[in-house]
Amino acid sequence: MMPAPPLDARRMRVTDDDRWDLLGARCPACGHTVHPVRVACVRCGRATEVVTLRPVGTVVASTVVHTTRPDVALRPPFGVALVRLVDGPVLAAPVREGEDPAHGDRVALAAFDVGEGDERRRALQVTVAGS
Amino acid sequence: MTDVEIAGVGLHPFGRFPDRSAADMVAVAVAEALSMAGSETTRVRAVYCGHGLATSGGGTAAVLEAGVTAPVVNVDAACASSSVALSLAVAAVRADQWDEVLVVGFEKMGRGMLRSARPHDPFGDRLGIEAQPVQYALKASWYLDRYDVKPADLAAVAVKSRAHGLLNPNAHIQQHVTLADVLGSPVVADPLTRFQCSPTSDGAAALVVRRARPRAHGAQVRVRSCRVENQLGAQDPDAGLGDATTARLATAAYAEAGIGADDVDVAQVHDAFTPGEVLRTEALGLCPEGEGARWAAAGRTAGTGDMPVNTDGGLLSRGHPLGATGAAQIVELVLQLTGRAGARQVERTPRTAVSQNSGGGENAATVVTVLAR
Ligand SMILES: [Zn+2]
Repeated sequence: MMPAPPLDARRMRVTDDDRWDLLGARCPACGHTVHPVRVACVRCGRATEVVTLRPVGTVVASTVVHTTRPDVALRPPFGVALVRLVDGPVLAAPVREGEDPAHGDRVALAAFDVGEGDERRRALQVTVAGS
Repeated sequence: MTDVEIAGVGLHPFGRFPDRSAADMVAVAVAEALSMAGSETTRVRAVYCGHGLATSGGGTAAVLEAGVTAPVVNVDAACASSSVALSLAVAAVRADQWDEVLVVGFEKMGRGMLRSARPHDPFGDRLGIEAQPVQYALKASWYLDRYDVKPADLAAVAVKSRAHGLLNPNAHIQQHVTLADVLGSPVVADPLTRFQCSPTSDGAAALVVRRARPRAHGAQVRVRSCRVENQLGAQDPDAGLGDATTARLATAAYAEAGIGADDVDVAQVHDAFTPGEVLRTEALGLCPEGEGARWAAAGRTAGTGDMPVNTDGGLLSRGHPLGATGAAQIVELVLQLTGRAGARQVERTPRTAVSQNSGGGENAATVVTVLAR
């Protein structure tokens, strides 16, 4: 089965052999690095280049979501962690079911799929495993 | 530079008004504001109209219903729309472009949780991560951990808010709650419970902004500073969990007004969720970092306390019709500064007031305004 396409192509690249890369944008002029990818640098305005970020970081904050809009792909309760990547940017992602990372914990990002059939998309989640 | 005053303020009550249009509500707020100012529609030279959900030109149609035929500038800056509108109005009057203008804010909102503040972010939107309660819950979790604060102290902000709302007939939520009620209401995103989240409301507010007139009619409240920044430029090492944007704006606004944080007698801050009030009260320098929730629990930020915050119930209880919120904050401060706040009037009529309004989303505007009588 072909891997599902990414839910957000500015956040990850999925390749035919089912591998994936975490994407960011780096400014060649000032070095500022962001996630997800942006076309221009928010510090100096130059055109950025897309780079691969290491999918590891540290938990800055976390919550367990109990109430969502009905169209959200995840069924509550589910965890959400804010992670500072070792490469600098900060992102929020859902936490892998059954895990409960604490502030300051070292974590990794992993790929997981949401949706069914043609609507299936690959997204990112936070996990304590393999970090 | 021309001195600018707010001469009149008006508000259509916040709440659910399914039978009233935005235009109906705007007409009520505008008439009230013009009446307080001793002015009339024909003196209005321009209208700066904030709304976050209305269709393009929505403000233009609503303002016409109020009988105003001056040119209308529609401003969409999410939850900070009418505060950004105020900043434009103040700049225009200061520059002598206009003598007298109106700032209007309104919103008609549906029920239920708002969609993402980043509509072009499929990741955050589809996974529910960008929902405002989740973003504020992350702030709350960071805050409780960093400053060793109890969830009950955060919940005390909502108890205080509801008490203020009961003193404000224009507030959406009229309800007495205890700490146990707040902590026991359904969890939305840990540690935030339902009563710690602002409701979606309908409402409108209006301000008459003009070149200051000595010995004139009206409220005669001076705008000492009204400053805007976006949030991305100030992103800090804590991932923006505190409110570095507000702290920077406050420093600049106090300098422009020639005051210090100690001079602020009453404040309105963006409490879309309880941690919003705490973080922004601290960022404005009105209480020490890490003490905002404990000050609420101790009654210090109540209307009867030594640093009254959100005396009209704030977004949590007055309600949060996005485009109307910033102007409504100014309405309350003008009423407080002129001794018109009725049952919720703080003691010793204040002289200096500050408002803080945040737009949702990572690139949205934050506005800090200093008023004085
Ligand atoms: Zn750059």
